[in-house]
Amino acid sequence: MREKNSIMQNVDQLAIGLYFALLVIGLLTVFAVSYDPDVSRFFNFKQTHGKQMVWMFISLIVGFSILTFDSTFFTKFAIILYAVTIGIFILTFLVAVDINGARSWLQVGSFQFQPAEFGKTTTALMLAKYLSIITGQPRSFKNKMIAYLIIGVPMGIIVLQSDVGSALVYGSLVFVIYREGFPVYEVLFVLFIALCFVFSMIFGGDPVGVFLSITIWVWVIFNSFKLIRKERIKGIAFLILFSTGILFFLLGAEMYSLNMTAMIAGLLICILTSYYIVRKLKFFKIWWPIIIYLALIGFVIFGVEYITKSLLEDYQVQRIETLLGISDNADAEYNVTQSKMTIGSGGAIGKGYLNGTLTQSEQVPEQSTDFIFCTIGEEFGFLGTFIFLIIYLLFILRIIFIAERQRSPFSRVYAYSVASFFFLQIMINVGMTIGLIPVIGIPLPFISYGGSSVLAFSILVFILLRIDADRLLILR
Amino acid sequence: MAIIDNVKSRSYIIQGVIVAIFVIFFIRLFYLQVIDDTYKQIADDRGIRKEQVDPDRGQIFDRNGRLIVYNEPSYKLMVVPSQVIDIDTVRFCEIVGVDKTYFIKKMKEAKNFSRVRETVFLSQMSAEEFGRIEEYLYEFTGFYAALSPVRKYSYPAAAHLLGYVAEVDSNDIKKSEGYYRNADAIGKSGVEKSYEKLLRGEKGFRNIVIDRFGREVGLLNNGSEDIAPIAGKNLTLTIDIELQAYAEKLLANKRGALVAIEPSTGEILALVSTPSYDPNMLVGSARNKNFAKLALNKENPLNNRALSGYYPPGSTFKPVMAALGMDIGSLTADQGYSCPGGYAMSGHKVDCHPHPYAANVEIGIGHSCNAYFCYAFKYFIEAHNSPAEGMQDFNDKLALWGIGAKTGIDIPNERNGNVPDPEDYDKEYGKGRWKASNCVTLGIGQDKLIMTPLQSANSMAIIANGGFFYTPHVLKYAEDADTVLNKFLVKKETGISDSIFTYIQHGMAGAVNYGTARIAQIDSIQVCGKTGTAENPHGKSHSWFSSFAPEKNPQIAVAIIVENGGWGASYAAPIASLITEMYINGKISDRRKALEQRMMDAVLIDVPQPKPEVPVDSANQKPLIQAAVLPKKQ
Repeated sequence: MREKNSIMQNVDQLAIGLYFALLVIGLLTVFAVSYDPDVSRFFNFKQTHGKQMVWMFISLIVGFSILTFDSTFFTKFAIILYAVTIGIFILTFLVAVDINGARSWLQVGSFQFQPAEFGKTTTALMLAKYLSIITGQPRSFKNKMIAYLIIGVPMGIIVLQSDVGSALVYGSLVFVIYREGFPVYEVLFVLFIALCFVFSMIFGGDPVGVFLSITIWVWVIFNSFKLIRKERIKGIAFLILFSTGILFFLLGAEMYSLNMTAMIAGLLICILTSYYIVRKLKFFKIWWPIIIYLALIGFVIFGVEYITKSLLEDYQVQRIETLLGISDNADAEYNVTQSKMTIGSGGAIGKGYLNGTLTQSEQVPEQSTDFIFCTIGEEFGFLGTFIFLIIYLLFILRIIFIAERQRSPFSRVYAYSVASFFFLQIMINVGMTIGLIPVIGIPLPFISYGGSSVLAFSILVFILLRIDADRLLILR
Repeated sequence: MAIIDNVKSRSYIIQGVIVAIFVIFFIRLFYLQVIDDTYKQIADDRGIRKEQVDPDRGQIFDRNGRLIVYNEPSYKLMVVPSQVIDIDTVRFCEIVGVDKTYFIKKMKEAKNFSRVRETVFLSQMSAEEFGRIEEYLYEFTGFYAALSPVRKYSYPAAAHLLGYVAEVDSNDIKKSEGYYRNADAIGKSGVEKSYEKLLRGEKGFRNIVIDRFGREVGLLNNGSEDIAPIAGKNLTLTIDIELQAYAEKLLANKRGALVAIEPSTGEILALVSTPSYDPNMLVGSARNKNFAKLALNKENPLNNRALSGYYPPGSTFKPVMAALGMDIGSLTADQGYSCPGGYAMSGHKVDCHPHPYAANVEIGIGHSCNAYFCYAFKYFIEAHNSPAEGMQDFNDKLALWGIGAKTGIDIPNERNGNVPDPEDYDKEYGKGRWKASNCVTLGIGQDKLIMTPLQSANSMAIIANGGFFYTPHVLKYAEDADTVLNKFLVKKETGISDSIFTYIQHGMAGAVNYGTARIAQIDSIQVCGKTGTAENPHGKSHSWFSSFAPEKNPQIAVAIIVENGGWGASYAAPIASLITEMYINGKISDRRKALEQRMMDAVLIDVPQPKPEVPVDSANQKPLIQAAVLPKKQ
């Protein structure tokens, strides 16, 4: 084992610097939320910011002790840790109490924690372990299925716990699979099935439609794989595929209230097949991604609000709300309005630290946890949110940079997993506070108040730093 | 290898996607924070108060378009705890008219809910009460008033049928999946409950911009984000409110129930349960006090006896028994049974009153011969292979009449009644160790047979119709929502031939013309009726009468029970015939005025009918005030 000293030298300085920056921003923001001019002192451990400080301290202790581990520990114990995680997930599903509509919290004494937070680390380790084992082997159907199942099993249990947000974060591991060279169609296909699953959980109404579209999809995919060797019939297969897509989209659009899933399915089929055909015929080879990207931007910025407000039936909206546990005290629309108002009122440069009047007057629901981004927006304005997101973007890009410099597939897969988790977590959390995606309650890593979240993400990061410090070794 | 290059390049695609998403966020944030000025009008020190606007609850009309239930403005006092600064609590309590404990309790509740969002402090203030507070309200920052309409009733009648509206409780809130909030109104019984979803409408919301002292500055975006409330649907009921009020007058100071049905449609014309109360008692700030008073009243005026009162039907069941017997052929139209002062077979003795020989079914019904229907029951059972089989058939046939099960009326809390099945007697006598003669009094509506007044009225509708009925209901139509009525348009058959009922109708006409119910005779209308006397182990017998009229093309079927009223002919028959006469002729003939007066004056209970704790609005003393108003289209 190396000297502790030399490990500290090998730890990525920029990543740990950004990590500390985020911790400090988080603590200051939680303080701003719990701040009450009459009673607040910074070192008050009864208030939320005080508790958060304790948790950050614990996280640092745990984090630095992780740096003293042997880096092979993580490869050796990946499978056991993963098995324990799945066990705890199932246990949680069985015994958990209902908190805000989700059964995802486990209570030990007076201490509550969300196993899904910690499971991210172990799932990433397991995936890394497995993908490194099969490196060099031919990618058989069985191998691929196992890789997908490693992600799918915890994800499925989490969906059953009604914690859609965390399930989506686990789903982000398809980025890793994609990076590891799995065929792009296949990755998108799995992603699509996962989306269907999640959407059918949310929209519920049409299990038959989901089943049908999945069946047809599987059929078409398998057949076109078979036909791929016989060039002539391939065209016909894709023709069928494309028309199925159109059919679904039209049917879905016709009765959108029933069949949101079919509509999305159809849209995806159309996009994929046209992508294929366009590539085959070498039309617009450079232009199509740009066009689709622009269309997506337009859709996301202007279309989402239209869909959530106009297209979704009341009962669907209610179902989403119930599912996400926000229908109890106020409706989702109210939360988003308040959140956008708070961010918008910050203007270009914000109202100044501790001067966020809407934050102070508790205008935003869940503002120390899921909606904490509002406080940054209100007190520091566009300047603040921009800088904050840039810090986060740098942090994620740095992790990807770290990933790419690994020699061992294990380390690379793990690092990509970490980046994916952070990316999706930010995307969902910030996206919901600024009204781009529906309200899905997940914390903003390191910023939101909550002990298990800070601790879990710190462990995730420190394991990465520890493995990276040994990047010259090839870990199996 | 080409594949490796390809895979390596995927890293850039992933980074590209991530950067792209962040760029979208930057654009959106720039738009929200710098370009869009929707939220700029909310200056540094302002917030938005989202205020609920209660919709008008649907009004209720009777079958002739008379307005029965409408809304009157009422106010609720709201409080935002964080804005309550330096108020004179003593003066506040004095002006608002609450005591100190109430103030402390409510403020604590409000703070627990939210320091900065509004909570209801005091609900259901009348316009006068609010007027008294209004001019002082500016002294008390953090308090403001909001409009919320309350129910008003044009007639002091039909309390059980209409039901009442009250604040939601925690159970209602939980069950509604997010619709109801604290202090919202909800129908708690009667029509108000069964048609709550039609009546309540849809809530609206206003986004009010407030400054940091909680003062209203204006509406967010000039109100463009507000949601207007949608008023509830107006309902037109099948009842004739004048007839209802008349029936309640006749039944005043008695304990009992009455149901009047239009046989050809199943529409309820009147549904009375007494002792009753003025529905205006359960409205506004006096509601809780009055409710407690009603709930504690020994005569239980809140109980709807018409749907849930359990009475043995007694002799009013005889026409039904006759129909069942004739249906399976165990009784024929010209069958006679001699009655030596009662029925006596195998040691069972059932007494009967003196009457001429019952030579056929019609005379048997007309003179209400007990022996005749004990035989009819005995031979009904014995026409089957075993008593158990016979009893099961008896049970099954009555189920088709809606006896022994809920009729499905659109008013909550209906009860089943009881028709015994073979197992009941197996338990009592041992399996297979009983026969018809053990339960022969079922034929005259005793033993284990229990019916509600509604079921009795429905059985009259069946006889009047000649074998079928429509589910009894009180909703005639709802504004823009005709589909609720489909279930009331389904014809339900008993499977008994029309011709059989001709004999029974004749027999019931005979009861009125020469038999036990002569007091129910009305000039110019042929009433068909059947008296009944339900034995009551706790005191004087209950007086029953079931009837329909006229004999040809019946317009009204009435069932009535007067508890402790003695013979059927003493109270029940006169009251039922007066209601029949009033409904068909619109007035009472001079000959019967004295009878009418005697019925109204009769007192059969110890505790007088409850009077309101607080005097009710004078509007109710003028029953015809709204009579000319037709259903309002919105």
